[in-house]
Amino acid sequence: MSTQNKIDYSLFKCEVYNPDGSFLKDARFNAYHYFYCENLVPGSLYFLVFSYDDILIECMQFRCQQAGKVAYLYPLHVVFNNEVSNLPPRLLEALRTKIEKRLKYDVPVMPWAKQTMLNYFAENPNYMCNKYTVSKISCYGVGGDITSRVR
Amino acid sequence: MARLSNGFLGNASGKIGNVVFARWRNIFTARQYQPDIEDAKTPAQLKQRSRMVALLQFLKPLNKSFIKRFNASLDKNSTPWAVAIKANMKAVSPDACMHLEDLSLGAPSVPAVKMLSAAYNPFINQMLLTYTSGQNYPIPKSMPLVLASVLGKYKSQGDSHAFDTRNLITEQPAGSFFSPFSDGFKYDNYDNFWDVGLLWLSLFEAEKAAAPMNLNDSLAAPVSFIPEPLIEYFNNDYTEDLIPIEAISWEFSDMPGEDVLVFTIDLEKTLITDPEDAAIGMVLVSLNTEKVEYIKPDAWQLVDASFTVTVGDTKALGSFIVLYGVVNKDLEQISRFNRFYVNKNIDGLELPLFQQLFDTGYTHPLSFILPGNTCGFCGSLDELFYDFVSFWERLYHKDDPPPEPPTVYKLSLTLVGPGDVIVEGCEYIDESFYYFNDGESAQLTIQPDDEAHFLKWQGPDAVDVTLKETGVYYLLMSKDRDITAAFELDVPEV
Repeated sequence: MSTQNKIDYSLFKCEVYNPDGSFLKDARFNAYHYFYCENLVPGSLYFLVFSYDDILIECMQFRCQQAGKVAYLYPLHVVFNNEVSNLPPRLLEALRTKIEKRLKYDVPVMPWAKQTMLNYFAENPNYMCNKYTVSKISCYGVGGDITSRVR
Repeated sequence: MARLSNGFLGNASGKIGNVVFARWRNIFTARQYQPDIEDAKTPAQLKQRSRMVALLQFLKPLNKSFIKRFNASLDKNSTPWAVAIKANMKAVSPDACMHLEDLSLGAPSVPAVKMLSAAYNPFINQMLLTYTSGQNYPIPKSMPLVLASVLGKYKSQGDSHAFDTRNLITEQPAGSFFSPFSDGFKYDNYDNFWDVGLLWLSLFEAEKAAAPMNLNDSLAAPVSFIPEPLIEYFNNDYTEDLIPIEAISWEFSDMPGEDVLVFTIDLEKTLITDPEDAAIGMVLVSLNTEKVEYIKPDAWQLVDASFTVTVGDTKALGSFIVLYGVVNKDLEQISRFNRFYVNKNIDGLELPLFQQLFDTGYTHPLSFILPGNTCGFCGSLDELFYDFVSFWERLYHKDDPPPEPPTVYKLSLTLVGPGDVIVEGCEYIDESFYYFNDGESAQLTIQPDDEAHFLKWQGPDAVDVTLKETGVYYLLMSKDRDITAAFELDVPEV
């Protein structure tokens, strides 16, 4: 019986892009597989691109309104933000290689992404986006203050 | 007290006989007139009144924050404050004392978690709570959304109560609570060091994400904790600052085989009058690449103008947080604890505090309060991309070569004439091409427009197209394919 090979965490990347498709910076990683990025502007929109060995995993659309806050991105944070949109065309072009590699490896959509889509489609039945293609990549809104929705 | 729905005397206000009419929150009420009590100082009344005063003093600082948030949805016919008074009167002892542990807010419906530890870290001014839910606890096993509310209470000064109400509701990792702290590293700030505290948890599920959340829907009963400082003798009992950090300076020095940090003191910037009767107790934590190490406490007799701490030849490549207090020759503390950050390594490289704390994993980055008008994000790859990691590790094995992507073939479909073709079975679509995994079949359903019909398949691969049923064809994708569907208008009958 062969032993499963461990994933190489050093091949993960989290890149931050501006909406115009220009690259801004890379997030930091530590030995405990956490990522962290600072010095972003509250209220501004950024696109976070997570990849492994240049294979696109998922994209997020980050906007935090609170100065000083480090938003904690975890599965239900994404689901509760409940936002799905398409990548802007210029960014799509910048990520073309990553997207094609994703499609070649047939990388599964993460469960939280599926759940976000389900919730979002339930609220927005006219939104058409349910399959990865080179010309259409979904990204999920993050960074919103979930606690403001608690009564 | 009677409630008048329409006001049988109109919108009555005032007293008739022994009935008093009044208006309270747009509700017209009538109640029996209670004349002034002549002697309200019986022992029982005094006792009851002192209990009520104690309760009001305790709850008042929480009225606009915790009481409002937890009690707002409980009783539509009452105020959050009134609900809090009613719920907590029983928590006041006969001698008019109330403890935070007995505070009752909201309507918890889930059992309390078990607190494992409540550690206060004076090096970064952080309270870290760890808890476990135990078996059969309704925390969702995957994708939990855990909102934590933590109320800290500072040491009481007489009858007044001071609370830390900043952690009203925050997103936290399951199993932990990290109090936030700022980067400015103000040396006299220990505002996350509480005398006692209460933790509430609210748990939510993904399916309810679209709807507004009610805090009380899945609120766990609170659990109390008493913080334990990481440094055994740490306290914030002293306010006097005999040796401010401005009086201390530092520099690295490399000695044969080991590096040292040399501290010097400018006594003129201190309030120390007799250096022979004062010493600094100093503890350091080293933040170096991926490692955190504590350097054992040592005493610096202030008759010596400088003090040397041996840090070895690797720690000096990182940065240090220094915590110090001042004692007299009887080892009694005589001044407050202070701390400062040694922000450069021996090579002069600047190492920002938060980056160092993150790189070494000293604490969770969600607890950082960033300076100025900035924000950021953090997260765990294992938490967000667990399924990708599993997918990848299943894809190939140790002795296998790295995985090859599956072979994909391209179908080029051209339409000629009035009609369309629906293509099914493809992996993905790129512009006008359809991509299929090796060995899959393309299902081609022809759809001529009105008054038109399908003529034939054309192109180099037309011969491989096979008819499945009327209007539906198959094409085996064993290589790149190029076909054309030709349609033409029906010939009108003469």
